[in-house]
Amino acid sequence: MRFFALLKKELCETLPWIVLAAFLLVFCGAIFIGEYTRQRRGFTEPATISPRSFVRMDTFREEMPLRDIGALLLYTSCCLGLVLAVRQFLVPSFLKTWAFTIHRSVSRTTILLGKFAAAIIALILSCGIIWTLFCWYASKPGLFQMPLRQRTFAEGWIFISLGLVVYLGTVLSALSTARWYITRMFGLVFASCIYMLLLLQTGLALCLATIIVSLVILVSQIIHTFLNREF
Amino acid sequence: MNMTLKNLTGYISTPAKTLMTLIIFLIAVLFLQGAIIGMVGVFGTPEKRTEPPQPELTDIQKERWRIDNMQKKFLPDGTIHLIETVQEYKGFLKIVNVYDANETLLWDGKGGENPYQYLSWAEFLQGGIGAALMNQLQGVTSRFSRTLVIPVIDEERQIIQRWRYEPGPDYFIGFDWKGRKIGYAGSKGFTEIKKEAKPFGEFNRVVDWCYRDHHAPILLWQTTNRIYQIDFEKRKVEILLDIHDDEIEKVAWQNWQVETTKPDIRLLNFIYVATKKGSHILVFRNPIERLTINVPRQWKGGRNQIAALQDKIFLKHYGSDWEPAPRQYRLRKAWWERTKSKSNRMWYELYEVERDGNLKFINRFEWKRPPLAEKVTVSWNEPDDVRWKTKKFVTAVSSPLFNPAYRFFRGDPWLDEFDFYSRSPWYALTFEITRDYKATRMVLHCSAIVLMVCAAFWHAWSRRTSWGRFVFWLVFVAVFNLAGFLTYLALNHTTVTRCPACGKKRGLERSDCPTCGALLPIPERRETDLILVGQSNS
Repeated sequence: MRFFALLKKELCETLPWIVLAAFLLVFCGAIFIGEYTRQRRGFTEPATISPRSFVRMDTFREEMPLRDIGALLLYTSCCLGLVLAVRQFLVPSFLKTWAFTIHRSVSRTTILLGKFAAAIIALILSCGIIWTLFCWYASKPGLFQMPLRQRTFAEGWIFISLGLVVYLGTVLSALSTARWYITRMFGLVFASCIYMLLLLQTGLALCLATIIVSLVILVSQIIHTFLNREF
Repeated sequence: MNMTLKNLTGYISTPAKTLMTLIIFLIAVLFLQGAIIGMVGVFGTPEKRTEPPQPELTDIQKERWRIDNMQKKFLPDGTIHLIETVQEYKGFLKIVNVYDANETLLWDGKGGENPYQYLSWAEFLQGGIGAALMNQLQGVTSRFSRTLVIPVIDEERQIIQRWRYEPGPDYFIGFDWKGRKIGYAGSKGFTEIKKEAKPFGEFNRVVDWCYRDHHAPILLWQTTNRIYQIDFEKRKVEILLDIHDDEIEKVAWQNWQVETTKPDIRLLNFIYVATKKGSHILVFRNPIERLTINVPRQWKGGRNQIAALQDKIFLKHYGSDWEPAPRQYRLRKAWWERTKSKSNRMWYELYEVERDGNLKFINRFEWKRPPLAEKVTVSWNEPDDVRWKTKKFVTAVSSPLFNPAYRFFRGDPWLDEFDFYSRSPWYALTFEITRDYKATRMVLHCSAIVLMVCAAFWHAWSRRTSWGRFVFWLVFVAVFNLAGFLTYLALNHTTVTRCPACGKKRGLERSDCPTCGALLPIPERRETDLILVGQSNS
């Protein structure tokens, strides 16, 4: 019960950001899809193959209606992760309210799990569900040239989980007691490194492995720091 | 639960923190090295590389090199002609002299008006999409990965079907113009049932062409050990070649993509495949037939060329007693010293390929190539530019692991650098890092490592908490060099104080002095320290 009360409190605090991210994604995503559909409608598809001449294979690359949403999804989830971590961990440090939170009759683990759960729910609500709805829409036959690939759907979820990595990196930086110019920013820097490494991958399994390893590295440090730190 | 989690994360968080810090510093050091080299390249004064002067050929030498420079072409009856380009204007207009094998002038004039019709040889397959480009398309970028889509058009040139290649399951999925699924195309052919769609096999290259009045391109799909021809309009997947226990090394084709309805086509349509195990196979079109050529095993695929007329098939073999250059750079200098002053025998041999695949010798032309040193001077000195010099110093602080990693990557001496790019961008990047940032000057590199280890030793000695930890960090610094030292510093820097007992410096992470064993001093009791009274008495 206490956990759910904490979760509710965290969700209430982060609700504006969840709504903002969801609105941004829906609004811009709808514009991108609408623009794509409008362009395709007024565009008579040419015969990209021409008899008697050789065709360059480059012309046969796929066009996708959700292409432009990729960057939007990636940066929205990363920004949301950053904002949530700042709201949950850095703001209490500035306002010096950690002592009030910690000295409740709940364990530190429960407090931490409540915050994590709120962040995960926020990412799923504002990015995950909307992305799934976009994919469902783009997969309906008759709307676009071809239904969306399952791989594209999975890549979108990889981007959302990158938001979680950014969240955890920021949390680690916020919890660190080191000076900002020493090792305090390492959590965020590490998240940036993971972002770069992720965009070099070609296999989904490797992407997933990179995400899982980075989550383990960050979560273990966060739990250890949070349970042992004096506030 | 709190205690369990606390203990558990205590065990995991320290190595996790070390790994995280190490990754950050490894990347930071790489960035720093790259930035320094780049900045020096931009702002430093570039020094010109001193190329050795190339020797001028004397008239006698020019005469000796003349035969080597001539093109050697065969007529269908096996006669060889030597073609000397006398004048050339931007590669277009050529004035040529045609000689026979005894250097008797047969004809001279513009290259395009040469009255002789020589055998034309199958060209090695290139272009289209190779494994590297296909891998690039798979990259998880912010605009998602991409794949190939092959369109099928109707009479009004509107796209009515799209066949999308799915790299995971390795087959095509077809959609009609409304985006509804219409079937699958895999190695077993076209099907409407997903379960029946089978993968093509490890992708290698695809090229395409389109016939007159055809409504979809036809693909020649090459995998590691198979060649398919995929016709999306007729919904037909043909296995042209399947060498299940071998791998395709080279593929050449002649007229394969040309329509055969014309009666005046003089040349046969065929694909020539050389395999890694030394098989040489010809695949003919209309009907599909295969012929294995019995070629001596020592003949490499790249040295053979095939030409096929309607009634005869020819094989041209290029041979020499020249020792081929080793792929490893470090062995090349010795090879050059061995071979530069030697004349070599070179030859072309023309064979007719008989119906049973045996070779029938037709003609041979042999000539002597003068020593290469007459024409070329190779400098084995390092490039004399400021970037190279900077790199020598900057890479001294790289991790010593880069050198064995580079050797591991280059383990297969026959592997081209280009092959790395056909795997994945991640693989290519790791290869590039180890190649460009591995230490090149071992003395400097070892000095840097010793310096780092000494600095870590000096820093850790007074702060040591246990011998195991102390030794671990010294080894860690030795293995990762500057990145290791920075990681050590980031995770181990604590304040030191002087031990009141022995006067030596000591860290505050350990309660007893590592030198004399004295405990940390307890502050003197004051009147207000009421809480501690009972504790200190007990």
